[in-house]
Amino acid sequence: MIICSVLPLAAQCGIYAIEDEYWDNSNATLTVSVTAQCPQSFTYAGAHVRMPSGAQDDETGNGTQFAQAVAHVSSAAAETGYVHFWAEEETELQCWENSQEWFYFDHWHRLNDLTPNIATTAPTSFSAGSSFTLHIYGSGFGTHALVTISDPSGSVSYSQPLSNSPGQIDVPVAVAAVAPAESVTVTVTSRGFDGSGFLSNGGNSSTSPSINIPISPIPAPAPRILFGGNDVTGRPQSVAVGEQVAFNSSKDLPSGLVATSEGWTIQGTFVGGYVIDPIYDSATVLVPTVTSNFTTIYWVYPGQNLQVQYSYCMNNNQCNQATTTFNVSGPSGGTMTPTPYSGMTLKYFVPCHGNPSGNYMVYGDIAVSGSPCKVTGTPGISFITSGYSGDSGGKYVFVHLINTDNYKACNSYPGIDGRYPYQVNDDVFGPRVTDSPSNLLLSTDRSVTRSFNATMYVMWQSNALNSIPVPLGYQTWGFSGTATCTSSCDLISNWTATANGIPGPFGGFVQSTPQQNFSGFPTWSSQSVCR
Amino acid sequence: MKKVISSLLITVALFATLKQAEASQPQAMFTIAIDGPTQVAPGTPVKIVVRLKNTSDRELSVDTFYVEGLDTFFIYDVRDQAGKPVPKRKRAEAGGLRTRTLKAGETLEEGILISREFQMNQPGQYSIQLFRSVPEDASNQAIASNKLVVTVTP
Repeated sequence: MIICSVLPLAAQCGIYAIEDEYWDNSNATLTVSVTAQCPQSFTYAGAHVRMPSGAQDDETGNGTQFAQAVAHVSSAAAETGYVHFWAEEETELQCWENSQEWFYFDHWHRLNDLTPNIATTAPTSFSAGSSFTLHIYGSGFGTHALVTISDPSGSVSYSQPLSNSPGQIDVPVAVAAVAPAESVTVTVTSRGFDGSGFLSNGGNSSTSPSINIPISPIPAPAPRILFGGNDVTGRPQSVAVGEQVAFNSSKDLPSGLVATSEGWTIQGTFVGGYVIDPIYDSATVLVPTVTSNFTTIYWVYPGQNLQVQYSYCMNNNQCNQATTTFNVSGPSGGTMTPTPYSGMTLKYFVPCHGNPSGNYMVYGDIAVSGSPCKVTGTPGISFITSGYSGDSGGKYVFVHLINTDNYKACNSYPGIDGRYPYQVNDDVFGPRVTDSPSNLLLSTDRSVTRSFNATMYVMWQSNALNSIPVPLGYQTWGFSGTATCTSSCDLISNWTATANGIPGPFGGFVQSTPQQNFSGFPTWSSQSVCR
Repeated sequence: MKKVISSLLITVALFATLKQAEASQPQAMFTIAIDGPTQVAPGTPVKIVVRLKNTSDRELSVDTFYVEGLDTFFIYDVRDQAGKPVPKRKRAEAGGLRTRTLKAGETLEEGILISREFQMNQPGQYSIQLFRSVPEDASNQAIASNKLVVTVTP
């Protein structure tokens, strides 16, 4: 048990100097050093700073003759404070404390409106789709700061500080999953230590320079290219020209994110379809729609390593892509050879079925020769394909378009000759396709001239399901012939026929190319009939 | 005139043959099936699809004289709902002869614009049936297709 007597030290200890008034404006602290003289040594000493604006602090000194005290000052007004020095010694026999001296001093330091400053933050970058506490480190924050966090997309939400010391603010922050890659701007506005500014009259709030914090967006997951339901991303595939190739894509989007744009980049020449209208006799080439995550195309020409790329972007502007390659096979290197007849002939067609008999001017040496109906003779022109490689697994399809066909009062519309296809060369028919235009000569006719110009297209169609024919090339051909008769024109023997010019092919076989209209596909909008 | 009478006689004889063929169908070398719309609006072209299948073990000649989309080597029997033959339009005077052979077991498929030949623009029901024979059939048997009924709506 310590028994001591308390001795007044007022007479022994005396403050004789107040010095080193140190004013830290950024933290609104006033540090006062006090020097005192006491007759005995003491173990503990200290000083109190008392300021009228109320803030105070104590700091223990550690010497025999001085102590230091720190006070927060919340008033800008000039004021007089005082320092109270104390010292104590504790022994078994005596205790003494309190100098009982009060030294007053004038405090003339003025508080400024502090400008806060952000030194750093933790974390130093934001992750989209996360919630966390943002620690803001710096100075001049006061204790009632306002924090402002802004980003261009408005993806960041926050509330006001959970805690606020002059050098650190903690703010709850949430970053939406859709946040793009962007910079977040953070500022701190100080409002002093009591929320009304640093100055006694409030002063002005001041805002720190902003700092920028990057957002790390959620990356777009790698998509997959599906073909026939299988993931073919990065795995080369093989198809034939004209084969229906339906792509779609697959991707697992993070929660809260959607694809805002997507599309395909496909090498090679391709179309979206080749549509034959069997009722109205038209053929059109469709342009593929390749802007969605699904597209159907038909390659028109063979090619190796044709790249197919699907790419998309999410609503956080993050994008990704998938790529694969296709090897497209098909006929190449061949031709279609025409074999023309040299001129016009006159033929009597025997009746067959409901087909009436009659006299005809024929290109070729050919006629309806029997009942049941049969055609015998040499056709006007025949076409045969040869030399193609890569044509297995498909068939040749011929399309005959009449460009002009004028005879008597008939001036035909250009269009398809009869029907599509003109003929298919596969196991059904032989490799040859023919035509022998013939026109009736009435007994009342005296001179009939026919001018005919047409184009025979050869196409190739894969046996694959839902395939379309693709063009290989075409040959234009034609003839002009005149039949005349002076009398008894019901008799074929009274007619004569001559060719005007050389009938047969005009020019050579033209290979189809991607640069041709409709990528080389034959198109038409009607059947060729007399106007 | 003689030729016209000759044609008429042949046609009458052929239809008699056709009726006989319908009554008793011996083993045919081929079959004919037709398909098409069962209902069309007035003025809509009527196009049928003909499938001629070679059911024999030899090649058949299936030549044609195409006249504006019509294979004239078929016989067309088109009747209105009263059973009367539908009037024909004037056939174009020009066409193209084509020689074709159909291999055993294969099928020839053709689209035929039937309304180019027959006046089917009035509302009502029309029945369509096709007949054909081939040179390889020594019996000259005309094979009949199924009947297709097309309704032209009012």
